[in-house]
Amino acid sequence: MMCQPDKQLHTTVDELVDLQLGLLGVEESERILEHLAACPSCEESLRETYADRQRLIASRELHRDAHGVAAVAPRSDAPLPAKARIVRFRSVAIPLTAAASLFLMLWLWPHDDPGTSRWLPSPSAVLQVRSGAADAEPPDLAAGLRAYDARDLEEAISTLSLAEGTGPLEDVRRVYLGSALVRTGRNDEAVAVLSGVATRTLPDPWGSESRWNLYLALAGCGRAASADSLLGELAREQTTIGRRARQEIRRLIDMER
Amino acid sequence: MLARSHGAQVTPTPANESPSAGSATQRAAGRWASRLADLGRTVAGTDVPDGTAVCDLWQILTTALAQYLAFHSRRYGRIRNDDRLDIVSQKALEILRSIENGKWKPYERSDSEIRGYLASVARNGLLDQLRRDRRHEALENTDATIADLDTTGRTESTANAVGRREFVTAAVECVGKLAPRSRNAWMLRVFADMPSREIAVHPNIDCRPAHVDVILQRARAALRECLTAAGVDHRHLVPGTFAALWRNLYLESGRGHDVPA
Repeated sequence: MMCQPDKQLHTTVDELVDLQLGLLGVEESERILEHLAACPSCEESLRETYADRQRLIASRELHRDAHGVAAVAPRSDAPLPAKARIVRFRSVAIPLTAAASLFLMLWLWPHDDPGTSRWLPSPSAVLQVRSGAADAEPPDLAAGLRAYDARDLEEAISTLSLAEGTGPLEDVRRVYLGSALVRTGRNDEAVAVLSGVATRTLPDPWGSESRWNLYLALAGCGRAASADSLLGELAREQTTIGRRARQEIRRLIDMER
Repeated sequence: MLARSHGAQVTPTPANESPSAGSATQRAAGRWASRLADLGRTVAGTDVPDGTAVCDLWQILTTALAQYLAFHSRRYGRIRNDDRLDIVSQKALEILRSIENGKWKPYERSDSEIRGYLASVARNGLLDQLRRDRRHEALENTDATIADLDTTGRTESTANAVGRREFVTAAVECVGKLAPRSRNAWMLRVFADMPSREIAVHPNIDCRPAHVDVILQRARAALRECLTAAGVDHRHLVPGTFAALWRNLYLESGRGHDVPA
C-alpha cells in the first residue's frame, strides 16, 4: 500500500488559524491533524506559526499606555534576582585595581536623555593607574583617550582613528572611537568601528554602552531593521541598558501615534 | 461565540481570491474572521475595553497575521525571525487600535473582506521588509498555493510509514511522561527554536535561563531513555511528530489552541 497526502485536501491558511484558535469541531480538527501528520509541508506551516506565536508571547506583552491606548512592550518579568549580576572578564585592558575608582565614576556619571549616546567613563583613571607602565600603551591611543576625556571629540576621533592598539587595547580604542563618532553624528563610521568589537566580552558599562551606541549608529544611518533587532535584544536584558531600551521602545511607539 | 447581529453567513471565498480556500468548497473557511468581527463589536468605542475580549482579539490577530505571513513568505521570500515578529506585532497592534478607535469596523465587513484585509496587511508588511532587505524575489509561479509546495513529491513506502507511525506513537507517549514545564520547555526549544533566555521568560516556564538549560538537559536524557526503551531511533524527529505532539497536548487537553495553560 502506498501512502501519499492528498494534495486536494491540503490545509488552508484559515483552517490552520481556526485550528490554533480552537474554533473547529472535533471531527474537523481530527481531519486536519490527520493530514498534518502525513504532509510535511502543511505540518511545517503549523510549526512555523506555533514558533512565531510562542516567541511573541515570550518576548512581548500587550498593555495600556498612560492614555489608555493599546501598546506592546518587551516582556520585562524575567525572574532574575534583583541584584544578581555576573561579570565576565576576558583579557580586558582596564585593570581590576581601578575598580573602586571606576565604581565611583559610574555613580557620579551624568545621565543623558533616553535615545542618546552617553559618555563613557573617563579613561583618566585608567591612564593614572597605568602611569607606572605608560610605555605599555601606544602614545596615540593615550592622546586620543585624553582628548575624549576633555570632550574634544574631533581631536579624539582624529587621534584614535590613527592609533594602533593590539588585543584588548584595540577594543578600548574602538569603544571610545565609536562613542565619539556617534556623538558627532558620524553614524556610518561608528557602525563600522563598533561592529568589530566583541562587546559581550567587555565589562559593563563599556560593553553595554557600546551595544547601545551601535544601536544609535544603526538607527542614525537608516538601518532600521538592524537597529530594531538590536534594540529588541537589548530590551530583553535585565540591566540598565535593558531598561533604557524598553524606555526607547515606548518612546518610539508614542512618536508613531 | 457572540451571534452576528446582522445574520451574515460564513461563506468560502473563491480559490483564486485569497489563500483562504482550497479546492473543497464544502470546507469551512475562516471562522476566526467571524469571531474577530464579534470581538471587534465588543471592544469598539468603549472607554474601558473588556480585557478578555481584547486578549482574544490580540490572539486572533497575531495568529492570523503570522499564518498569512508564513504563506506569503513561500511566494515572495523569507525574512529573519525577528523581523517577522516585528511585522506581526506591529500590524496586529495597528489593527487592534483601529478597531478600538472605530477607524476599522470589522463587524460591518464580510468574513471574506476581513480575511482579505489581513492577508494583504501581512503581504504588504512582508514586501516592505523584503525591499528593505533587498531580497524581493517573486517566484515565477504566481499561483502558488500550499498544495504546490508539497516538496516531498514522493510516495511513502509501507515500511517507512509503519516506522514513522511507531516513532510518532512512541514520541507522543514519551513526551507525555515529562513534567508539564519540562514538556513545554522542550517543545519551545525543539519546535520554536527558542534560546534559553527567551524560554525562561515565557509565561508558562518562568525561571532563570540557567535553570532552563538544566530542565532541557534532563528532558533530553529522559526522552532518549524512553525512546530507546521503545525501540525507536531517538536521534531524529520524523515528519508528523510535531503535528501529533501538538494534537496530543493542546487538542486532547480541551484547550484547543496553541497556548498551553
